[in-house]
Amino acid sequence: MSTVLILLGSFLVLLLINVPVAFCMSLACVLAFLWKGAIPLLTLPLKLSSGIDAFPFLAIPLFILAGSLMEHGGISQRLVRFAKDLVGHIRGGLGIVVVVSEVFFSGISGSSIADASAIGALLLPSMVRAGYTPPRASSIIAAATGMGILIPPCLNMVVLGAMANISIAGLFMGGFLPGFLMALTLMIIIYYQSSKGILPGPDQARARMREVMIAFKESIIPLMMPVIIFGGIFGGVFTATEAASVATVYAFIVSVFVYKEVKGKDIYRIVVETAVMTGVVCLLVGAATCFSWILATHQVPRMLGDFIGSASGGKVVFLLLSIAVFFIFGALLDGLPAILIFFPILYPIAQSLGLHPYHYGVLVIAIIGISVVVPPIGLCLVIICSLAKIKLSDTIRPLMPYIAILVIDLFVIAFWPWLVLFLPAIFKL
Amino acid sequence: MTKFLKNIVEHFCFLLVMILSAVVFFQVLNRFILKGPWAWSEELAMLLFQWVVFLGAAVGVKRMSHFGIDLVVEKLSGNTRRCLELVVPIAIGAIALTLIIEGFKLLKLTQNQVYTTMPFSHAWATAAMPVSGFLMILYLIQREVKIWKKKEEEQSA
Repeated sequence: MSTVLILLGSFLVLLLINVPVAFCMSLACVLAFLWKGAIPLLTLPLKLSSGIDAFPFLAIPLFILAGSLMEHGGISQRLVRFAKDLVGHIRGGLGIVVVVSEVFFSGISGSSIADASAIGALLLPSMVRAGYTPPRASSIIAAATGMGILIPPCLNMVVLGAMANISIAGLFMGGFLPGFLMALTLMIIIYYQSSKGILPGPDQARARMREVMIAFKESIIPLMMPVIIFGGIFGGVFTATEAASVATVYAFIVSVFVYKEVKGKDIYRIVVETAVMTGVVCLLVGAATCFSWILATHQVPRMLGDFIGSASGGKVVFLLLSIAVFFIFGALLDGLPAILIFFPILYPIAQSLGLHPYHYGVLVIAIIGISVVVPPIGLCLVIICSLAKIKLSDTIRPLMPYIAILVIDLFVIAFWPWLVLFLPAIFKL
Repeated sequence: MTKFLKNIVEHFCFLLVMILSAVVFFQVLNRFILKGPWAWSEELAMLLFQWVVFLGAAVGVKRMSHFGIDLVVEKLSGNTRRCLELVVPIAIGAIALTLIIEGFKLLKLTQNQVYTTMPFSHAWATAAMPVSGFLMILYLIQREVKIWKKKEEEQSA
């Protein structure tokens, strides 16, 4: 037991003094190995490399590369144009445009951070011009980013699926309906606020059918990307890694040869940045593999499971506890580390309680999505606020109603598994 | 030329990611169009992936891209802060050293494990870890020297 205390204690201390999370975990493992001296230090590099030694992990660099190429390739402007023509005339105008753009955009990019910076950079200025206060505009974009994590492809789903051996295709498919639920509830609340005069009214007159068609034609190339990815995966043609590979080649051709907005120098920068991001993410995965392996050899997940199982109302208590744990640590540690540390501990318990892997997995992703846009630390919120040049604390009040509605959605997802399981069941995933 | 050498690890990262993407894409093409089994492509992809990860992680140290929580340290000032800020490179250095020493031991152990479809041993993948550890230490020293020089300049100015 003392080993576990050393592990957790040193991890926490290192974390608080700003040592990067992957190194905190690795160093905590090293100290735990040295403490009793029973396990050779060799285990650390062994786990670091074996933790990522599975074909599904290859989807990580490929999705990062594809998303980044598309992001710099001039597609976001086209998608936003299309969203404006589709829904810009509705009450709540630009706010609703943000939500719809985010649905489109996160269907192409796999990371919330990319979404937040792309949508934020594009829509913040026009929102402010239309009369939104910067904190309100930032809040809407933050809330939409939190929702967007559920619209696949999603890097966190890839990592979670590859790590826990859950079908990534199943997680992707399971994320759609909860994502749409969140998008819908966000749009309703924006509509309501707009009709109460809290938010400005419609953005533009209803676009003529011809204009909508032109905008649609402009965005058909980027919108083909999710079609390729999901058509392939859900049709059973591709694995997630293969789909990511095809998506990368598609994104490369579109951004370099069709739109010609990505030049040679940009390609180099984007590719190197992909390698760095991959290294950062996968080192974290490897370190977490070692970390949770030590916890598992000391029976920590089993003891926690017994403890929770003995509490009355096992399943409900467990789901509430999961929401609390991932919400708090997602906000404190950022999404991925929270998943990597707590999912291996909590997932076996979820299984023993009879929760469906897709249901639990998608729920965790949804919680993480919201937690990274919650003040005071949420990473995505930080990015949006720096784009809007406002203080993080300014967003606390305007963000509240959106976070509240998203949390309500969260409970719907937690206690109504059908929402997640319906689509995977239809596609027999 | 010196600039090329300075960024040589980045150049390697670029090449590795490009080759990795190409290998996986040709594996897909091969599976659907040529229908010929290209068994080695999967193992080659995994080998390249290990290098991408560990070289990428090393460049991540150079660029300080690994995320941590700066909430507490931000609030501090003076000597406590300076001391705590020194812990970060030391912690990273300790892991880098572990990667070099223990990674090298692991490399020796994997020397005899030959890939099923390729005529060389797993040590070629394991080697990424000691190399990464070495680079991390190099980058850390570079960084500290830069910070130290900057302080000198500030003092003289």
